[in-house]
Amino acid sequence: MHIVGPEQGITQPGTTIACGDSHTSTHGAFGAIAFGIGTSQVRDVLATQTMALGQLKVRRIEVNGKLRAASTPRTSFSTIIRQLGVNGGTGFAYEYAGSTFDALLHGRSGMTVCNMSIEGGARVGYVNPDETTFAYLKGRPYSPTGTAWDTAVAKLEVFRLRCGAHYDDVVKIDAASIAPTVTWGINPGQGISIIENIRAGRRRRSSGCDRQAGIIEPSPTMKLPAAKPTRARRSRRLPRLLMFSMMEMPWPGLIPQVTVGAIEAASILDDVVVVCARIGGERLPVCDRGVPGGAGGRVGPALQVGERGLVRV
Amino acid sequence: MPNHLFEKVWTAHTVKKLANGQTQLLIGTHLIHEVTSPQAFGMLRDLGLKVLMPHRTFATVDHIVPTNELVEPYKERPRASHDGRAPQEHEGVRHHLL
Repeated sequence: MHIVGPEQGITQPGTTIACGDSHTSTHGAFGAIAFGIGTSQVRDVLATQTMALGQLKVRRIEVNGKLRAASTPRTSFSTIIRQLGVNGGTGFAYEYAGSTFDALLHGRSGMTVCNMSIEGGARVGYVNPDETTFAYLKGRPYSPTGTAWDTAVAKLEVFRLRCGAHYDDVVKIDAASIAPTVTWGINPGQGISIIENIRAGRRRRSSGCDRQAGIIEPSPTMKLPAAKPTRARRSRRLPRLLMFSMMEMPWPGLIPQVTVGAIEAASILDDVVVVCARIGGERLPVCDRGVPGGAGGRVGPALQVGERGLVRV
Repeated sequence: MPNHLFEKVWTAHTVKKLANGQTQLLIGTHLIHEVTSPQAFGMLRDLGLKVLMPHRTFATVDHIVPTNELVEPYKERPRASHDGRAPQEHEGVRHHLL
């Protein structure tokens, strides 16, 4: 859906799009206001070509400056989610702007970031269309042709952003602060970038009333130096997130500890063991944050996982 | 009053304000696929309604497409009816094969 639309020129800037898929915001990369809808709304749109919607607020997210070498627009969104939270976008449409995004968010990159709007809780995400958008869409099977195309572009000029628009919220992010992010928890907002300190688990006595807060006290340990590729890159067994983290981390012995979130699936547990085994064969402390539903872990050279008992790393 | 793209598109597509405070919004392009539309077509049939704007409705297979096999991802035509057409084709909806 989200590939066929742009490729065929079905997706056009300045239009409204609806699709029974939560990631429909992807089409915002071409300046369309695109909503992911449920099946009863699909029925409504089929029958009436309209649907009922509450007013959304608009948050402008500006990323300015030069991205680090290892960072991509995709990385930027990890930072956005960390900053605003997975529910931060509830009730909002996200407008992506700023010098970094203006230069990068076209075609695939724009689709990736707009696609992820929903991961940040926003129903809609879009980029203001520009010449790159028109160049991409011109001549596509469903794009207007001849004078109709010129009229469409002229009409959109009227829609183009002018200075002084009112936004319900503006978030500005310095591109230099964006670095590849490793997620460790149970949602994409729970992550840490590779230029930050790893939070080492220091065990404290639980107060009993707040297990999550009581178990681990984050404390800085060490900065990771620049990333370099590792042997783990070749492993096909590693889940993508962990693999990503291994690719970005230096080899070996520089990681004081791996912190993982809830370990519910046996397959993931196995992968964690594999990861640890691959870090230079060292006995690496693995700590689990004691997320509800996860394992009641402990810090140490072994990984203890609830019902599965003790698993040696 | 200058405003952002969202507001301009929203205003241009507003049909009317509903009593409950929501806005009835015109949808320029409706993309449908095999997972969330069959039930909607069923509800439409039960209500005796037709697709209002087939020319604004585009269908393709989506969720069942395997990553590595874009050509002929399925052996049989999905939900073909008596004359061999998929249900949405009866409604005049364009169906894009991959």
